[in-house]
Amino acid sequence: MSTTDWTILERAFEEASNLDDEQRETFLATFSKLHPDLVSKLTDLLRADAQRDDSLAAPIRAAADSYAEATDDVWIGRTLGVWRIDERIAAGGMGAVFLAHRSDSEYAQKAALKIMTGQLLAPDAISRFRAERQILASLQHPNIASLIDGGSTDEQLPFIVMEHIDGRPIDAYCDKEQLDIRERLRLFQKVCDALDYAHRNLVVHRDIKPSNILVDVSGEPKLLDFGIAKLLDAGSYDMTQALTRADARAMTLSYASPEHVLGQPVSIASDVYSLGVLLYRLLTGRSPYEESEDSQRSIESAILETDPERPSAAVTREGSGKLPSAARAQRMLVGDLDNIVLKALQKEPKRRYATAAALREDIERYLTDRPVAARPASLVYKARKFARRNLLALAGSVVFAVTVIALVVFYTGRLSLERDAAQMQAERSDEIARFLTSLFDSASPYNAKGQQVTAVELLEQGFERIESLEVRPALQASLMQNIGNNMTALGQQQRAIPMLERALKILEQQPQADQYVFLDVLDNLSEAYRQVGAYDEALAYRQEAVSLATELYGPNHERVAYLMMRIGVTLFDMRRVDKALDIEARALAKLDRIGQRETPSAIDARGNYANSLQYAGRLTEAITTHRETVSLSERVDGELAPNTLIRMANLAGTLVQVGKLREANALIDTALERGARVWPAGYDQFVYFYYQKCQIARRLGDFEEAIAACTEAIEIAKNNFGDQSLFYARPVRDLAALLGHLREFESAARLYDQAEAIVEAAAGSDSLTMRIIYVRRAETLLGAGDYARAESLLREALVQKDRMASNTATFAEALLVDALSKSGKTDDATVLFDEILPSAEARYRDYPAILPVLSAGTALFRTVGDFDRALALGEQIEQLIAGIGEPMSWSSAIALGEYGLVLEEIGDAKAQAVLETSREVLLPLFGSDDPRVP
Amino acid sequence: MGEDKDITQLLNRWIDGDTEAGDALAPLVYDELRHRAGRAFARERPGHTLQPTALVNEAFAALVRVDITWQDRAHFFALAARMMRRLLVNHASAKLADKRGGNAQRVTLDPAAVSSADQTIELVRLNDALEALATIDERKAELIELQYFGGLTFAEMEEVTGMSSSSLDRHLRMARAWLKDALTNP
Repeated sequence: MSTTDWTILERAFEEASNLDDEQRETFLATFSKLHPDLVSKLTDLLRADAQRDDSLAAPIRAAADSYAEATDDVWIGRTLGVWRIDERIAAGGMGAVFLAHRSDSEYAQKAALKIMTGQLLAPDAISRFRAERQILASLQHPNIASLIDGGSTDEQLPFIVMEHIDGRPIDAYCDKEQLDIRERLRLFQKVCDALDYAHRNLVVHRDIKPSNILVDVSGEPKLLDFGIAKLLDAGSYDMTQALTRADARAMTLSYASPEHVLGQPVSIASDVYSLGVLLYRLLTGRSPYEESEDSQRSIESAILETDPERPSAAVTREGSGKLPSAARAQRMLVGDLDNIVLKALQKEPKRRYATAAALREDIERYLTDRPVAARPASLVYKARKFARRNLLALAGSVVFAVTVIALVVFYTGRLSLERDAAQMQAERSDEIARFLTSLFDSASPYNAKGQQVTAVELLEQGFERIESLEVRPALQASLMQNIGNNMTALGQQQRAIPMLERALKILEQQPQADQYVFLDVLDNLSEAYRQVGAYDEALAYRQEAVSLATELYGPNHERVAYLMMRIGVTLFDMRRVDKALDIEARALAKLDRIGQRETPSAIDARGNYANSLQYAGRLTEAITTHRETVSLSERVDGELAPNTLIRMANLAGTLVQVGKLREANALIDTALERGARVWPAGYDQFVYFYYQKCQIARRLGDFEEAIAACTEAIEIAKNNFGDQSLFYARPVRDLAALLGHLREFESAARLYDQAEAIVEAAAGSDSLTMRIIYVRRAETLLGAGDYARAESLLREALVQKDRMASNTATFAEALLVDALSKSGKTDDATVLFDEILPSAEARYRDYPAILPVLSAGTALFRTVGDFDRALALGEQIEQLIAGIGEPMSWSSAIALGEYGLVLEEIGDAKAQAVLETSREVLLPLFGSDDPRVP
Repeated sequence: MGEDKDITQLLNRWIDGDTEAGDALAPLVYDELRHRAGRAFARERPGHTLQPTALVNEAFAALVRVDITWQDRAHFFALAARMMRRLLVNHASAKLADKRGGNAQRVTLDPAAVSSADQTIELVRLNDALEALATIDERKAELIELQYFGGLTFAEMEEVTGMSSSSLDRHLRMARAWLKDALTNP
């Protein structure tokens, strides 16, 4: 390929790879005309671009493995002690296994010799190594390969000599011999026997896995490598510890117990867990956790957090068909066997079988058709699972509260029963931390109301224990991050921040700190700061997070885009909406470019962007973006997903602003109806839905419906957040405004007073929420004829007009023009009108949001006798209303009425028709005595 | 190790543009990697991802014991990535020749060992593809080498290459696509 062609191809690839499918096709069509000889290569490259990168990394990994084996072969022919190495028979995680024979004896004793090539013996530990070996050598059991000898090579590599077993790994044996389930269980029982024997001699195996259990030609299983891991721990140090992962322990991850993964002391219970994994595999042909090429990190987290699928369900999955009959196997597994396996696989050591013998015995009961000890999960266990799965549905409800109390009592009860001092306590508090993590992760900040004290206390205790826990710092920091994040979720940001800062500090002191945990901490910390309104800190940490994520993942990665989007959210909170829009747009473009439109964070980003657009008054774009978000969310999250419903309500709110009231109403009704199917009645999220419903019904002139929705919102807010919360004050304010529309001024005033008092206490009188109450209240006061007070409230409110949603600000300005005009300050009103009109037109030229401005102007100029301007504005009103294309809303009708009055005053023939149109809408709603009816 | 100083000097001279020093340095790095590789890779098994970074870091710690600047480290890593590639490719080729030569296959109990032996041919193919890429666009081939054989993170690669992150990203994306395509459509 010529250099020119390559350059062309390179440019075209760069451009095309950043296009969406549709654009890409157009691009390719054009490209094929210009460069017919290059287009097929370009197509190939684009196809390859979409494939995973495994084909590049996998061969390197395979070659490395192969290389390691070859290196092992240098031992062949050497003599270690009295043992001469003949051939390599296996490669294992900790070293190579060779066939060897005694060189000093007349009779040819064959043995397996294993050299731990990954380990060096610490000089002072050789005697301990010997002592441990002595104990192992004393294990004599028909199902345990006995330890014959051991020592170290000239290079200080430890080796051991074991009885040589000529056999197959137990899983391969079962498959080869096509053993049925009963036969597999009988074989497995022998493994339990051998293990129990060792346990009674105080030896823990620590590395139970198929390749350590060989079945010989006579069908007897033999356990190998007993306690080797312990032997090594006792007698050696891992020379690579500082350079690789801090916990580069020799273990086979997929059979390791949660406590082993956490680097905590392993015990008999850990072996029982590994037996559970083995049994799972023998019965289903699968691992209890998804097996993929994924990182060590993700396997670890699966072991710690994922509940294995029931064996009876796993056995019929694709790729597990090693059993003679999967369907038959499934029938056998359902029930007792499922329970037995899952009991052995409990994350909490105490919930497993206490001994290998107990596991063996339960299998015996199954085989002899007696009731087994393993029960389908206990009530508390079920409650916990239930809470985890249905968290959103439960949060805030009574069931949820009861569950949390029950669990907290349960765990604290367990804690006080612990005899085994610090070790177990540490273990338990990890459990709690993890458990709480799973419980609260997806909960919204205010869900656990009523339980906060207990949960917070528990978390604080957990934090203190973690502080004194002697584990590797990265894990310590990671646990702190978990707890800190939960504190934030519970609305305890002030407690969370020092915890997260502490985690950050620990990580900063670690030169080899896990950068990924570091990133999580930065992310959580900035979120906590954002939530307490410490925006500068929030932004600083978030920027740091973006740089770190860019370093770790490269600039074109979803995580980077997501963090940018969170910066946008922070800027939005600071009401620096233009800046927020800018960074959110960049984040979205990035996500589009890397083809990540459909991930949860990408949809989230899109939704946030749509909200910012709406707030800034860019309604056309806002609606398009909201629509995209809803349809993506319906497809990816599902039609009933909470996120989808919230996004529908967001879209409805924006549709209101462009006057599409009927579509908005249908949408909010759908969201409410779906919400009723997934959430319990009174669930807190309904506050928002009823708020939107209320807005829409009010604009539609359905005041009864609006009041009903508003009252619902008030009731739910009160039950969930209390009657002193902002969540409660807002619908009270809206109800007051509704009463104002109905000219119930006294009741309205009382409700406004109530709302103001709550906001005063909760957020202060200079808060944005208070200013918005002022705007609504001023509207009511104008209706009541109290222009002076309306003016002063509006002036107060408009101090923060840059932080308000732009349509609210425009509305407030229009009201102020009206208030000035009606109180005779027409000069001031004219100046203000001329000042606000251009920006209102720039944003809302074709939208109902400008109607209050036009309407106030029309009335003003009619009052001062400037009929030319009044007429021009009136015509604009008429055109705009016609352009909306919906049945006329009452607020449109009021504006149109102003136009009619101008026409009437100048004696235009059209006047009566226009006034009639307006009255048709307004009379049925307000009656003939209402001043709003022209 | 008495060679410390020599190696650091060689590295410095090489960075200053002395190609002979680079030539002298390469086999030293190669030997060091080979010396450590067997043990390091054994430790990584089974099922764990290979961490060339760890190995290269080890080699670095062993060979160059004085504090040197990140820039100089960068050069070292570029060299080490190349040597790592050579090490693995040499091994894979030898293994392949061994097989083609009809050497009796050893019986092994570990099924993983069999499959990994069969997969060595994939590395040879990858290497061939990488060489083919180098003839068209040498820089891209070097970047892939750094990433996959040197195990450098994105940020480290920015440092080593002095490229902007966007152009680095662009080069890598195209290079990966080209290689994946070459491997599936030979």
